[in-house]
Amino acid sequence: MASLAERAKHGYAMLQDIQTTTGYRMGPGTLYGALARLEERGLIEALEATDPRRRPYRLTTRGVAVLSEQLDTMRRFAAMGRRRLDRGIPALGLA
Amino acid sequence: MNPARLRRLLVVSFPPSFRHRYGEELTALVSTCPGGREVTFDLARACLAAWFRPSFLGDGAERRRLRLEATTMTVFVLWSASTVAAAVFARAVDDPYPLSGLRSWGWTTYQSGTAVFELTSGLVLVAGFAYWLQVVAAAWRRRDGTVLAPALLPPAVVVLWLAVTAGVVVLGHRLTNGSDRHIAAQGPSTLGGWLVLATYVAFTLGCVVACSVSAVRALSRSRLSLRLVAGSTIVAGVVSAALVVITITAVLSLSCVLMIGGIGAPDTAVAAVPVVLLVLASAASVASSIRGVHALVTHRETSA
Repeated sequence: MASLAERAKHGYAMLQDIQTTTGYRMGPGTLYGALARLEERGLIEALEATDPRRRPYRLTTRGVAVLSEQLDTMRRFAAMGRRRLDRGIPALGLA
Repeated sequence: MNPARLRRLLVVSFPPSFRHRYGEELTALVSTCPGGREVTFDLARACLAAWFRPSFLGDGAERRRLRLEATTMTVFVLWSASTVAAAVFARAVDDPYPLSGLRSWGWTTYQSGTAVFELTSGLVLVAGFAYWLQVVAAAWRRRDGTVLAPALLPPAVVVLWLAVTAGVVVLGHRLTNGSDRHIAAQGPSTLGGWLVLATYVAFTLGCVVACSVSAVRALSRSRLSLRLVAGSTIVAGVVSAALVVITITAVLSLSCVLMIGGIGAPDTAVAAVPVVLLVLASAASVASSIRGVHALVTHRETSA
């Protein structure tokens, strides 16, 4: 979903984006399995395209809200982990 | 097999609803996607996942229709595979004659399973014929060749299979000098005989696959009404229940055979493989039926 946060993308562009940003090489089957679930839940939608083999997808309003909430949760989790690690490093004698 | 051909085969092996929606895009992406075996494994894994957890798009009624259609098709394909498994099991246990010692409760259980199998085969044939008529009549009115062609293939394949089987029986009758035993029951005694038998078995499997695939294709393209697929889901539920009974009787019969110890390791393997297939097919069939019946009940509650 984060791959679609900026703009609509088709499958190949999503695969490239995911590999560039995360280093994870996602397979085409995994990608379309995820797209099918996200579209079923109404979090993304397909746009009209002249070439039906390269159909772009974008986030829906609900998808934007869900992604935003999940990113906030991840940010809070990361911040909490960082605080605990900062406090824990001296206590563990690793500083 | 050529990796590119294997990938194309995997893409067409996805569930019809998935293929209808994403097939073209996935095919195009796979053809441009770099990578070797990992892409093939990824497709195989995603294909399995799509069968186990299918996605349906559209409004509520359309999603239910697709769900019910998926249950009907899944149970039909599993039933078709089970008929082959049941035939192989029967061949190992009951052909050319019942295993010595397979008596009393083991034999009664086996016969009960056979009776349920035959009754359910009749139900599948009658219900299948009724739906086949609906599909063909609707496609004929629309002059829709994309539905008519796959709908007309199964009867042609069945006629061909019956003709070839009759030929094999006549050949066997001549080779065994008029004995009543089927050639497959006695087991070929020459390399040529084994080749004929292997070809016939492969031909039978090919017929089952061709019938299943074309029937599923015709059904998914015909877009039957919600009322019709609701009816077929009920039939699918009955077939799934029958499949469970057949599987239980097959497991009990096999247990009895193993306890008696009347057959050698090769024959035990021949009997055990179809039983494992029956267990897997009935489990998948029941899971799909539960999903279908759940969608059916939800629809009725919503309509009421």
